[in-house]
Amino acid sequence: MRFFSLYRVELRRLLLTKQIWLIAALCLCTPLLGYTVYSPVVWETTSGLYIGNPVLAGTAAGAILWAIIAIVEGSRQRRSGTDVLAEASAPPTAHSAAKTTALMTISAAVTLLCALLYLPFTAAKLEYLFDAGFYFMNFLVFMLPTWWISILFADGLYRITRRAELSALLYAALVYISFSRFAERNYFMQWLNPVIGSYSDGFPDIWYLRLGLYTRLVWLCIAAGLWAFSLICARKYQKGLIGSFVCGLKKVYLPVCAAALAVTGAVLWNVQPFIGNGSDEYDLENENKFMDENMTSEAITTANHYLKLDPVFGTLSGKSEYQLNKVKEGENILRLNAGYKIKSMTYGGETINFRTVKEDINGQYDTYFELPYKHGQKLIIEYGGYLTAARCYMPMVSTSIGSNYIRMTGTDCMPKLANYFVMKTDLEVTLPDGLTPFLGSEHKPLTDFTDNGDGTRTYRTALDVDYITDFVAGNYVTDEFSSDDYDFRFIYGDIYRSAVDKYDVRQTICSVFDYCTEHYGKPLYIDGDAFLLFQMNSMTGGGYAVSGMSTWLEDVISPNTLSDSNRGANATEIFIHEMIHQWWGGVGMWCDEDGLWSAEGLTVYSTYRIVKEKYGELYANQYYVEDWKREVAEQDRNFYNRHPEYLEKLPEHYSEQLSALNQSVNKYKRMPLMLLKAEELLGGEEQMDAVLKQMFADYNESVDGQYPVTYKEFLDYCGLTEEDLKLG
Amino acid sequence: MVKIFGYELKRLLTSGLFIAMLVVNAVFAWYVLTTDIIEGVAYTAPFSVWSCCGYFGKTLPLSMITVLLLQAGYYGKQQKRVDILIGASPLTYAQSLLIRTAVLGVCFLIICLIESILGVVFCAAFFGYYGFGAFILPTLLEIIPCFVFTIAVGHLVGRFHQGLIYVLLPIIFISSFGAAGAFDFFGGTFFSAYPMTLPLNPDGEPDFVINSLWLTARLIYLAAGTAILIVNSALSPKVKRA
Repeated sequence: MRFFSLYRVELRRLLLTKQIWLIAALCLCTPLLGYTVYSPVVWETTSGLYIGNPVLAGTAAGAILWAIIAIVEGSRQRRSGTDVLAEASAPPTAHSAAKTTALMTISAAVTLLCALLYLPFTAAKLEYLFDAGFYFMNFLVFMLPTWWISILFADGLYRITRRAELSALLYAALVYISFSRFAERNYFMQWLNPVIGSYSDGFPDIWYLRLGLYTRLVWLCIAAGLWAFSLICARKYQKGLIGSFVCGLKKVYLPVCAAALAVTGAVLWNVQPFIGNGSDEYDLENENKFMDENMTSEAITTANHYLKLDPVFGTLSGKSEYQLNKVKEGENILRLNAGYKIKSMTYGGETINFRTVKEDINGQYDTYFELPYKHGQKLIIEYGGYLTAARCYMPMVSTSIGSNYIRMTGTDCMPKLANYFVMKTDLEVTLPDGLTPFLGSEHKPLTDFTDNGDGTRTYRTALDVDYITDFVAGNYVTDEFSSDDYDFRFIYGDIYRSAVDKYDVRQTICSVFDYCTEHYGKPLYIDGDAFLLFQMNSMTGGGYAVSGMSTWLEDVISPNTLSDSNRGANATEIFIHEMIHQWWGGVGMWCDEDGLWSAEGLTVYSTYRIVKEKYGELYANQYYVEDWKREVAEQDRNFYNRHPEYLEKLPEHYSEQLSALNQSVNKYKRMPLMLLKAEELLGGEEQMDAVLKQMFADYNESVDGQYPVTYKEFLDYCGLTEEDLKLG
Repeated sequence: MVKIFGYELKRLLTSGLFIAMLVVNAVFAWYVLTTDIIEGVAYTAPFSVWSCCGYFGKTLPLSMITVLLLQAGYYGKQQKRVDILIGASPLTYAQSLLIRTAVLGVCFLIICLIESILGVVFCAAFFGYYGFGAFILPTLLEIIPCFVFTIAVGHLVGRFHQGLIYVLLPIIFISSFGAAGAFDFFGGTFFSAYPMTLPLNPDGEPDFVINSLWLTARLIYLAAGTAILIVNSALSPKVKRA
């Protein structure tokens, strides 16, 4: 009871101090750093830019501010000489707990205010992609616990040292550790700056939130452990640190709590299921070796896989049954996601002993087992657990099991047997009923399902494949429409439906594909006339094309992309630009990017040509050619471009910034202008189109286009020299 | 009078507000130098006179806000109680106004000096440039009219109510985005745009010239500020002695 009365007093007192209001005001400003100088999110989608970056900036900067106030408040009574009186009038442990809890309460209120303050701006920027739940979750998962951790650390350190400058120094060391190179690949060390690789706009996935929550829990335990330890060290009877510590041990519950919290933190850290403990580099050699063993196997089998996904906890529960025609003698190997545990293995009803080697290879463990030499029996493997991300891919995470989006690849779905070649695979998968599943790199939809009546559906399919390479499920819709040359199946996130209608995306796709096919030829991966365009979650970080289908990243249609004036004058033109990447760069012709020659340049030029045909020469000149000329002139005028010797004198950060700006202008402005000059020198648009068509055709014919096209090759096609295309 | 000036100056220079704002000004100036001026104003060298004027054009709003915050202290309730004592001294209102203006002027010059030192360090450390002689006249032409005009308006409105000085703060902030051409009060926008209209020398940069319209505008601001100060002191009631 004493605690609550002290808590009320402390809370009221704190609210009457000017410092707390100043710190609160500064904390409210800290997310602004995320819009300007601090951008930790690796792949900057709109959500990353307007939720991830500001929240993480506010988290880190705010935590430091709360640590300052915690140290100032901790030392206040000692500075004023009233500490002896305070200790005499109130039990020190309850008083410390009340003071810290009051500070944490105010920080919680500031977190809420902060979230509310930036809500209108974020909602305006994200437009139809804004998800209030996801937005608030970011503040609650990252900002609030980190501020609490910081308060506990700072307060604990001050109580142990009883010197403000020393505790500030120790706190600074903790901050340094979190930002140091040591913690760069050790994501659990980043107590102050939690990691976000990429946020999806259209398929908001909570993988990073789950990781953030878990790491915050780990550090809360550790910080609370330190704080409890500091209570043991609280000075008593005018004694020093050691004397007070010995006295403090008499309160047995304090060391027990401190130890329990610290041990809990350490155990949670050790058993974390999120990131594999393998190498930072992808182990291609081991992967190839495993594949080779698989290829040399002769035993043929059929397989049935039963998968049940829990989107709340991100876990999978699976059962795989293999009908083995022939058993391989000796030791067999299977590979499975490192987060899954094999629960049982039987062959012909007989339990099989197995040995899982905890050596992480690209986020997978190998399990060794021997089968009785009896042919024609059924091997049943039951497994399950949390889908672990391979360390080599971090901080980007492309596989996840969530309620809005699921993606699993290879051994995330089912075991891969090294010594058996599977002829036929039957799959049965249970997942939330709002998600539409697609299988394989071709993204074939699963249509045969049973509604379980409990908010889940069980999908079934039979495939003539050895292995499922890719499983994607999301809130997708499918549109089917036709242009002059193609029939399209356009699959995209339901949340983008309004944008697809607003920007007339279907018509744009048709006109781009018809135009580009007529002017540059048919892409190699378009098989027949039917074509599938599949929207990918931006967490995958890249797209690809296979026969009859091509993927495109959701960023293409995000408000942030559609407002980037580098790519076009308005949203429709920017989408045209992104679709032209089906020909140039991305999944189309690969260009040997040398800083000037680039797929972007070709794409901008082609966008200009389509826009010119669509809206006329005057419009295209005004919004494209004049813009290119102006930016190129400005680039030429730039002091550092005129005097590159000064670039060396600049800190690396600034020269990199300028280099990035130059690269952008070269790709988006200078190169299209040079292509326009090439067009003039060649004699007109028709001649230019003939060159590009020839180049594209030759690329497609040359070993499936494995070699990037160089600038020199382009010049050779044109019969021009570099000098000819230099801008005057 | 000199003694009172000394006391006033000491009081202001040792105040927490001045020290804190001096630090804020210095941090902001370094931020402007390393994020904006480093690119060079209007594509000129970061150590050109154009960039120097652009630099002060961007830092002046905060400097003037600092001066106004200090000036507001002269029109607070506490100060008004002290004014009764000052009224008992042989000091006239005009003299008192002059002392206050001079004290604020010294504070302003100290801020500008710190910013100049940062600018010198920036040019020397990053570019090995030391020829700052040509910067002095344009800089003085830029900062002095700004100070005189702002301080005069501050004194004028402060006579009526302290809160009116705070009203000037957002006005200063908004005018820092200036789009008034040569009449751009701080010059930040003018010095970014005007060089773009000039012919380039063989090195690809426009030579520095003082635009006659801009010069006229500076003189108008200076004259207007001085006139307001004079009128303000002339209209003041005579200090009654006890």
